[in-house]
Amino acid sequence: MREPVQTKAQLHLELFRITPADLSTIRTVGAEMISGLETLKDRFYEWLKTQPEFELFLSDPVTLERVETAQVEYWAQFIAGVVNDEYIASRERIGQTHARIGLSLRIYHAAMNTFLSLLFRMVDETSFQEDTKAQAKVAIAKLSHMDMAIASETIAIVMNERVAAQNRMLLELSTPVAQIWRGILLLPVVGMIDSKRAQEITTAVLNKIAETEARIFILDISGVAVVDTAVANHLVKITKSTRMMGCESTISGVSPAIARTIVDLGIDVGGIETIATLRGALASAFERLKISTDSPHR
Amino acid sequence: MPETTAIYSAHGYLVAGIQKDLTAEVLSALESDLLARIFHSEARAVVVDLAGLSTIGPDEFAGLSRILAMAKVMGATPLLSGLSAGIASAMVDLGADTRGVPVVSSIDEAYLWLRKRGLVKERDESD
Repeated sequence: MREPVQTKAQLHLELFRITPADLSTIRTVGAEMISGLETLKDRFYEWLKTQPEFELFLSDPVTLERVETAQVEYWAQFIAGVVNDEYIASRERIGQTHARIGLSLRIYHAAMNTFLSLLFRMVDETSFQEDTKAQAKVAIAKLSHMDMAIASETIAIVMNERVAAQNRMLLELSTPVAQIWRGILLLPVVGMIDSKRAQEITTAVLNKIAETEARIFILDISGVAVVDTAVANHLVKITKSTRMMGCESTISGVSPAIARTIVDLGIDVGGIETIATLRGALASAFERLKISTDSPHR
Repeated sequence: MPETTAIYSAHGYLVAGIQKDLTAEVLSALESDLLARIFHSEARAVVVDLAGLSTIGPDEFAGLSRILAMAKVMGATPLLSGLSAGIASAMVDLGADTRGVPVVSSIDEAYLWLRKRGLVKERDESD
């Protein structure tokens, strides 16, 4: 019986069908190859120097030395044939580093391919019997596939996280609810309004109303590309929810074109104050809050 | 067609005087002129004076209502003024729905109506 909880390493070994015998062969053959790693490194860099990425990432001698050392360590760990969680974590780190510096998957796979053929050459140069050499090659191929899979997956994860973070940032950027006067909030909307954006706007505005106890919310739509029935419905919903919190909404930036669309589509904006310009909306807000614009008011 | 729809600006609101029958052409010119004027002048109200109008049919009234609705969406309260007896009875015969658009007898009445609702921008006339 297996242990009920499998470690990450066990899961990976099982998935790539790497048996204890495979690892044992790698260890046996690897022990003889360990002294040849420097030669392997030289041969590997002969190839790498022909690639444009070498100039791009490794032109600095300090970096080059650091990378070379790391590479030899990586290979040593590879032919040591011990796959534990630390091994998996080190492969994940490789993926993270590659994602961070923006190294392409293409060159990574090409490098692994070169490394593999050089390693096979080294296996051929050992003193083992032909069938052991063949077994070792199969085991090495399996292990290298596992390595590549882990690194590639990590790169994909890092990239996805980056995209998600950018999306979050964009959403925050796109809903900058500002308190422009005591009791008055303003949100200029630029671009398009879909249900996700409308939801973001609603959340941002309601939180801001709770925080500032604003009485008037001005939603400026002069930068909105298209106003159709769906967009209008979103706008109506937003204004309804602000009203629930005691804050009246005004939609400003209704240009002649938008006015035409609203009327021609028969969209009912009854109950919402709509106005042509932001200045007009602000003037109306000041009037309603009985704020005199003649005297400075803070 | 400027001579058909003269638009004046007065005390923060606009007055559009309809001088001719509301053909599709006239309505279209009125729509673009009036909406542009609202947008640039930030007028709080629009008085459409129909004193120069002799007849009105269902299509003309529908076209006019559409423009008034657009003005409203742009934040300018629409107001009709100067309906002659003929126009008034024609509109009733048409079953025209003027709810939501106040009707006053003249431009002077329109001024009073708007002032009562704080939509007239008082000029500085203290001296």
